[in-house]
Amino acid sequence: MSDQTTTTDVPDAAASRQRRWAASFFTIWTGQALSLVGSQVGGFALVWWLTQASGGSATVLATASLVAMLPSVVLGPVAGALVDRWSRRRVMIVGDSLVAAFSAWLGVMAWTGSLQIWHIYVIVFVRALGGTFHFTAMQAATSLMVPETQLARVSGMNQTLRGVLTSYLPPWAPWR
Amino acid sequence: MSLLPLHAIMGIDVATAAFAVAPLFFIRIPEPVRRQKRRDARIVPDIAHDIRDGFLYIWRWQGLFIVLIVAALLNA
Repeated sequence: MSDQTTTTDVPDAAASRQRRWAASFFTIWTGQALSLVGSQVGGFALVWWLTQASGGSATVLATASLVAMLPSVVLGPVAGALVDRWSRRRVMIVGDSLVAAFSAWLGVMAWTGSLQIWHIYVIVFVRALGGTFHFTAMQAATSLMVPETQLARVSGMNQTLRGVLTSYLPPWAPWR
Repeated sequence: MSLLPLHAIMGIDVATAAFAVAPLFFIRIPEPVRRQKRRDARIVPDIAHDIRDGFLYIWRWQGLFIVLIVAALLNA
């Protein structure tokens, strides 16, 4: 036992809340990590499809990149202010579900063979839009769920996850 | 792309998104304390004000401002 336990007068309820943050936070975190794996593979597959369908057209790929970046550039600052006044939980649910619904739609289009290049532009835009709000809400939620003493550690875990995802998954995607 | 067609990969995307959404229905996420309910007509100027506050906060903290500029340049 450290001397801290004997000198602090933290009430039992607060102490147990401190201990229980990990269970709820990491349940959400694990789900997010899995979802990011799917998004990363999916995003790469979309670019791959575009490249093949357009015969590697620079215009098509540049348009897709532009569409992918616009939401975060234009909406980034606004997203933070909006997420602050909406329920973070609802923002994440709606954001993720919206992206999933469009992925399902795209899957059907690919399945029936009616997929066209502009469909990819639409889904890339929706993904970026959902991602912007989702990422902002998750960051805001993290700082409220994780005790201050553990924030640096969680931040490091997020960085590691991001690094692993961006460096290991793209080579995987076409092989799958 | 030879092993899995695009629609299957989209299927994986949807399935993994379900893992992210499902826990959110059961777990409460703390909300910051709000000064007042802001469901009135002033919502747009209010948001503009919040954004301005955010930028001013960064601008006034010189170290943070420099870090953000460097990060933006490195990311480009």
